[in-house]
Amino acid sequence: MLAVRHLHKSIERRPVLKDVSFELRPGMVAGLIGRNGAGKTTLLKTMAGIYDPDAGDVLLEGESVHRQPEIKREIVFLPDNPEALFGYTAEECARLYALIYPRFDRAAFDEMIRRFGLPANRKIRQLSRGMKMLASISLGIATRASYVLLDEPTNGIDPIAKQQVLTLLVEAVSEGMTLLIASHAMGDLERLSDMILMIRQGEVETREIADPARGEAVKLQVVFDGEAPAAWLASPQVIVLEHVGRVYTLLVSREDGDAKLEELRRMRPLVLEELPLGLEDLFVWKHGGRNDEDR
Amino acid sequence: MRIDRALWKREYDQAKWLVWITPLAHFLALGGNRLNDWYLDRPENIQHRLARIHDHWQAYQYGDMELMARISLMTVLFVLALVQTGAERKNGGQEFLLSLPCSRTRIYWTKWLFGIGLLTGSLVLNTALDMAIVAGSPIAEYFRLWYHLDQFVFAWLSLAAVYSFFLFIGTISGSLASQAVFAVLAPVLPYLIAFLVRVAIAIHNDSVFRLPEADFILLFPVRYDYPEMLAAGPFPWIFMAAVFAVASVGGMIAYQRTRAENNGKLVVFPLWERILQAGFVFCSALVGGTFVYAFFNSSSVVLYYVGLVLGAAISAWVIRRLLRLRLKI
Repeated sequence: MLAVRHLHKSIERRPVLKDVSFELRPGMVAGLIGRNGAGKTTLLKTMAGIYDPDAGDVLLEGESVHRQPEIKREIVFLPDNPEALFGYTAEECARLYALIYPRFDRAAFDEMIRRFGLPANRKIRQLSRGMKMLASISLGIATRASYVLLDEPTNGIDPIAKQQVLTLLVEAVSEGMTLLIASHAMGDLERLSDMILMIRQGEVETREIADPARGEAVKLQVVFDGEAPAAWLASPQVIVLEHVGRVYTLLVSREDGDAKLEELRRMRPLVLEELPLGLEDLFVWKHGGRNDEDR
Repeated sequence: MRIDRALWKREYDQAKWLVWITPLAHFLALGGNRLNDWYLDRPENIQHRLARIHDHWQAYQYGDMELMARISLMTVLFVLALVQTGAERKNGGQEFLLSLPCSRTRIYWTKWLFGIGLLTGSLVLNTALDMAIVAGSPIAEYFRLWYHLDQFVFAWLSLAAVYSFFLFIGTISGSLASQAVFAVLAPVLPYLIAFLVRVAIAIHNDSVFRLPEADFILLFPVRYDYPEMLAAGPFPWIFMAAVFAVASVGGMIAYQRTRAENNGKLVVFPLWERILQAGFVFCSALVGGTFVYAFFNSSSVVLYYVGLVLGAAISAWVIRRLLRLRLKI
C-alpha cells in the first residue's frame, strides 16, 4: 500500500499541500482532479521523491520514500512531457530503464511500441506529442512497478492517441498495477477510476467513484412556471450549470439539509427531473461554480 | 550495481561530446603544441629554437604549455558542470534523476566522479603523450620525469578543486544562466571586495590606495607558470586541497537538500537567497560610493556616502526583482 501521511508542502511561501493524507490500495485506479495550479503536480512530485515535503511522509509498505529512495523501484512517475528522455530513442530508453527497474519487461515494451507503431530508432524529441506520451507510458508500464503516477497523460493529444493511451492504462490495471492519474479529462477518469482525489486549496478530499457526491448534492433539470426565481438561483447552495431558454440545469447542495429543494418544489416548476451527478458536476460544485479565485 | 550503471550511462549520454572534446582540447594545448614546436615546424626554426635552450626550464618553456592546458581543461570542466547541473534543471533531467530509486548522494557522487574521472583520464593520457613527445624530441636531453609528475599533480589538484567548485555552484544555483554567472563571479569576488574596501579606507584616510594582490582570485593557482608554482610554496596546494574538500562535500550536502521546486530561480535555497541579496547590496553600495566619489573628482567624502546610499537603494530594488524571476535558461 502507498500511503500519504499528513503531507505539507509550501512553494515560495505559499502552502500548496496542507495536511494531505490518503492511501492507494494495490490494483486500484485513483483520479486526481483539481483546478490548474491547485497542486496536483506538486503532490505527484512529492510522492515520487522529486520534492521534499515540509512535513509528513509518503510510505510504501510502511517505508518512507524520502528516507529509503531505493524502494522507489516500485514507483514510477510519468510527467506530462517526457523531456528528460528527448535525447534518447525508444530503444535507448528501454536499455536505460532496464538498468533502473529490475523487473523491466523488455518483451512487453517491444510489443507495445510495435502495436502503436512507435519508431524504435527515432529520438523521442522528434515524435508527436501523442507518440511521446505513448512511449513514456509504455516505459512506465514495462517497469512492472507496483505504482505508476501519471501527470496529465492525455493532455493535448489527439483522440486516437488518447484512446491508445487509455488502452495502455486499462491493460496496466488488469495486470495489477496501481495508477494515480492527475487529469482534467473527467470522463476518462470516471470510466477508469475507483476513487477520486480532489485537491482544493491545498487539501485533498477522497471520494468513491460509485457515489462521488455522497448524496451531498443533487443535479436537476428544471423548467420554471413563469419567471425564474432570481434570488433562489443566486443563493449559495444553488449552482446553475447550464441555462438554455427556459431550461435550467442546476446543482443543489444538500449539505445544509433539503431546505432549498423544498423551496424549489413549492415553486411547482413545470419540469423537475433529477439527473445523474457526474465527476465534472462534482468538480464544479466543489469549486463553487465558476469562481476563478477558488483553487 | 545496475542503478550505478544507469546513472553513469545517463551522465555519459548527456555529456558524451565533452568526453571527446576534453582530451582533444588538452592535447591541442599541450602535446599538440610541443609536437608543432619540435617535429612539425621547419627544420631551421627548430634548430634556431634549440640553440636558445640551455636548461630544462627553457626546454619546458617555464611551464607555459601546461598553463595553457590547464586553462583549456578549466573551460571544458566549466561547461561540463553547467551541463551536469544547470542544464538539467531546465530539461527535466534533474526531476528524472530525483524520481529514480537511488539516493541523491549517490546521484551527486556519480556526477562528481564522472567529472573527476574525465579530468584524471585526460591528464594521464596527455601527460603520457607529452612525456613521449619530449623524450623523442630534440630536447630529449632536458627530459625530467619529476617535472611531468609535478605538473600532473598540480594540474589534477587545482582543476579537481575548480571543477568541484563549479559543480557546487551548480547545486545551489537555480538555472544554467545563474550558475554560469556565479561561477565566473564568485572566484573574483574576494578580489573585488578587497579592492572596494581599500578604496573606502583610502578615501577616509586621504591616502593613496593600491590594488591588492591578484592572488585574491580563487582560481589563481591554475594560472601559475612553473617558476611561480615552485616559488609559491605550500600555500596554493593547501588552499586548493581545502577548496577541493569543502566544495565536494558542500556540493553533496546541497544536492541532498536540493529544492527542485525552485528550479529557474537565481538560487534554490532561501538561505543562499538572503546571502546573495545581502552581498549584492553590499557590493553595489561600495561600487556606487566609489563611482560617485570618482565621478565628481574626489571633491568630498559626503559624495561617497551619497553614492553608497544610492547604490544600496537601487541594488536592493533590483535584487528583489531578480529573485522573483524564473529564468528560462
